[in-house]
Amino acid sequence: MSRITAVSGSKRSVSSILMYVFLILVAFVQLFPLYWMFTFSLKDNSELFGENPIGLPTKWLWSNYSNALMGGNVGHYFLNSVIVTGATILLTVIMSVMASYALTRMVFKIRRQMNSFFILGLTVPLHSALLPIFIMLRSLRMVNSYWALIIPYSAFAIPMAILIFSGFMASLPRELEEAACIDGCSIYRIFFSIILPLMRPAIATVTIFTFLQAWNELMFAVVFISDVRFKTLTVGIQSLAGQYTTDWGPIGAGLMVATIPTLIIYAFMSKKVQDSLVVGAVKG
Amino acid sequence: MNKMLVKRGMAFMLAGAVTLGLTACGKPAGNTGNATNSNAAGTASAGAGQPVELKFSHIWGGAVDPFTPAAKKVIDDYQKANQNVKITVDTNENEAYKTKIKAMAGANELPDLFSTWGGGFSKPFIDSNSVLAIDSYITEETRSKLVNGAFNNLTYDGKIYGMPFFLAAGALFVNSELFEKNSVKIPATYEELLTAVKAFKSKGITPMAVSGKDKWTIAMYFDVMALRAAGPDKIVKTLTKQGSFKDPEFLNAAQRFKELIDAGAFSKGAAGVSNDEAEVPFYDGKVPMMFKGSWAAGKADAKDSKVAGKIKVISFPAIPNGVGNAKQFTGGAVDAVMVSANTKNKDEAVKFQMYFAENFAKESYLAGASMPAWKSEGVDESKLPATLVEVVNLTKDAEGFTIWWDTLLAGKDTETYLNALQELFMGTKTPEQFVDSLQTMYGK
Amino acid sequence: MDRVLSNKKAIIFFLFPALVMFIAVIIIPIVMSSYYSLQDWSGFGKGTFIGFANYKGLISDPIFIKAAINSLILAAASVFIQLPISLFLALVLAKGVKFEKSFVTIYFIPVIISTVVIGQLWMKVYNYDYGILNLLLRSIGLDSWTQEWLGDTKQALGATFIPIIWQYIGYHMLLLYAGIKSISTDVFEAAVIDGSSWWNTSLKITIPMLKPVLNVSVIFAVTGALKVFDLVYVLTGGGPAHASEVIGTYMVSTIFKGNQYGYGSAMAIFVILECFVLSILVGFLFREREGAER
Repeated sequence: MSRITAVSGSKRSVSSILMYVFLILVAFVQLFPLYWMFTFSLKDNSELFGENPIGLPTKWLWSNYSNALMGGNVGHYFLNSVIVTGATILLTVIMSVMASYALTRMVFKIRRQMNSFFILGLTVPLHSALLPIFIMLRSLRMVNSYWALIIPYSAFAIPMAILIFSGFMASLPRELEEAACIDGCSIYRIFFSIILPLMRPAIATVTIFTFLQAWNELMFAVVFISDVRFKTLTVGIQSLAGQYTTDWGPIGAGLMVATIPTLIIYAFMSKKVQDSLVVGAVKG
Repeated sequence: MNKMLVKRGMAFMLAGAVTLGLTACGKPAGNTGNATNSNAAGTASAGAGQPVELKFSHIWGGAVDPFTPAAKKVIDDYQKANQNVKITVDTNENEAYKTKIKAMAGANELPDLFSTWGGGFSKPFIDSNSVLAIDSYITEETRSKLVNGAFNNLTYDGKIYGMPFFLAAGALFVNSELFEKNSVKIPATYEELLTAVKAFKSKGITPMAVSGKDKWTIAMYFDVMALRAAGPDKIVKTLTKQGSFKDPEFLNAAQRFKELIDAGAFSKGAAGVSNDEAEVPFYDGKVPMMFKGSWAAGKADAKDSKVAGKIKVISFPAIPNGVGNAKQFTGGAVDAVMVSANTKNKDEAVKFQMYFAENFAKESYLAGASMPAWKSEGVDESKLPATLVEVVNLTKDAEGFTIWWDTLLAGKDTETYLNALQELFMGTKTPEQFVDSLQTMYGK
Repeated sequence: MDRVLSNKKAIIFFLFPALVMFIAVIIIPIVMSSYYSLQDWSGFGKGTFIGFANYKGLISDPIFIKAAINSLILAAASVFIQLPISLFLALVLAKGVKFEKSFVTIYFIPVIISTVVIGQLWMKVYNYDYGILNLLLRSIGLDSWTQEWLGDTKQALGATFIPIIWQYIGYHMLLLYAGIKSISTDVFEAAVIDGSSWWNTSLKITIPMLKPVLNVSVIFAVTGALKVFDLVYVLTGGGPAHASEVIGTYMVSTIFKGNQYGYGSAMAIFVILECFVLSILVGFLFREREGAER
């Protein structure tokens, strides 16, 4: 995209230096929590709460990590989180991208209303839905299974995903489908071989957002799962807190461990978002 | 409520009992780390019956929590002695657990056994018939092993619903080294307390630790001052809606508390800090006084404690014009284990409930984590943390224990109390407005 | 074309899976919550039907009204402060700067950090004694400006909202950035040939073409703000003295601490209606504008 900035001049270069200074400053602010979480994971309570809240640890307490890892079945919790989050992303993306196509492109009477109907999903406060969903899962005999988390997580992610997909589909030119139609393509072919590939940046975005939601969710995971075989990582980390006093260092270490996969997934997916341009998204 | 229920988990009317237990500890206890297996695991039908699975949700699973190994040991011992019983454990973080157990009750999905808190917290569970009454299972022998009043917070409409294990008492923890260094006298009277506050304040030292954000820590101070002002009977009557907060004793308590605040007892930023954060300067030896439940003793004596050996435990002094005295304590036996009314194995569940309560009390005491609500015999006091022993000694000749307000009160009333108290603490409500707010619990 | 696109079987095929899941997990709980909201119910056992008394209670509950107003303030701040920042960053990054990918990655980081950590971090910023903010003020001689921030009823609301707004800047930035990247490059090329400046291109071409995605962003910002809970809970718990109370925190303490499930459900229904009406309104405004321009 350098072609736009290429329109140059000396004024330009001054302003572009200023812009880089600005961008780098912002980058520092945004990176700070990551640095801070790292130092947090290596401190004890007295450093954290007063003596040295911001700086590097005076004593590097790597033992926080062994406390965090040995205390629970971290590996096992981690695997559960991967299963639940993976299934949630898969279900959410497939269902939502299909629904979005019908909702933006296809022709039927109550399309508008249907669109609004799905927005309802964004409006429900999780806490008030806790008991009704619990009762529903119980009647379906799904409490204490992976489904107890996968289903609610997907359902709450669907409205978000539908909105994002619809937003992106709305900007796709209709000529694409019309051309395919003239060639005698079926609706399914149009969807799977024309629309779906173009949705890559949106799918990557939805994947990131759904991942964040499912990976970090705590309340449903605590309440719907009592069987240690199905507990997830965030619940494991939370249970590092003690009854009377909390040693924050190991919690920091646990959170650090839980955040690394998020960073990797994010870096990978955001690259997909960016790559789509190179692929040449919509070259008419 | 909340954090506090937990955090202070314990206590009630008792005291003599612990004394009894402790003085009786002349017997060589032998292996301290290995509790008493005497009344152990399977007195009755060891290993005989049908295979039974019991689900048990509780809150002792923290990685560095001294209760974790204690709970685990008790459960393992029981399963070893009762081969037919399999106990499936679900451990949870304390705060999240409160939401979880309520949702479980609402969805009719309670486990066979669950840990909970007496007083207001469990009341709706009992009101909705979710909990098994256990009167018929409690023998005279069991009763005789418990400290006096151990069931007070677990009795609803005359029936007993839970088995207690811990006992907690509110006490003023003071850092004697800081007092000496600054040549301040450890207070025995309210005037001396006020003098001490002012003396520390003038030297730039925050006198008392509190978190204005975790409201229960403010209530620690106010509950004991109200007890000093009004005496135990009036407190219980008024909280159970058989009196009036408009009585002058409550205003006196509020005014005295305000006096302490105005004298600079607490840090200026206290209203915005959490309890974990507020406690740090005390345990770092920078703040000389903290009023907390007896569980604070464990931390003062922890391995890497910076105040080990420096902490003295005293009772909050009597206050002017107060009816109460310094031998009355806040606290009681609150933490408990209950059995779901829907369990398929009532007898097995209750049998384990009894075993767990008694042995968990002992193991936790041996671990130096908490005072037991069970009379403990054969415990070698010298191996217990010094500060915990100080609390035990302090409460030896207690006249009685009065439960914390936010534990006794239920649901909305607890919120009313804590919110009004936070406003008094911050100065947005005067003592007069504060008692008016309390009175709204009686309806308009 | 229309014939293909109105294929009934295909419509059902595309919509059915999402719809089933949505009705089971979202719609049924909404219906159940509405039912609870008409009862005096603790969340345990049986409740008693009391008609609209809970809703009448809401209107005369000063704490609820305060919480509702605070939530609306946050929604407005999200739309008028947070989103413009996100949009600006997205536009700057998408126009192609050096290290574009690194910046996009870095700017998103606060979103992926756990609320617990973000909360603890900001408590370090705001602490009265050793907080960064007060240290900064003291070091430049503005001692009189130091505040208790989270502990002061006058500052607490603002001090709580700043971290919330900041944390999600990256979220909207990514969404908008992806949106810009999906716009056909031909459009930009044409603009460059016309000699249009970046600023002009953004205003006249990029932003209008981004409308569908902007619409989504605004809806997310509004509904997210009205339902906010986590960070407020960690930072102040809604206090002190309800100064930073939002509907989310008040509803949770009503349901789970106050044991008033019925009353709390009435708040939930209020939030659902509020979010729904505002989202529809936002969608309507975006369509209107679109229409007007054509």
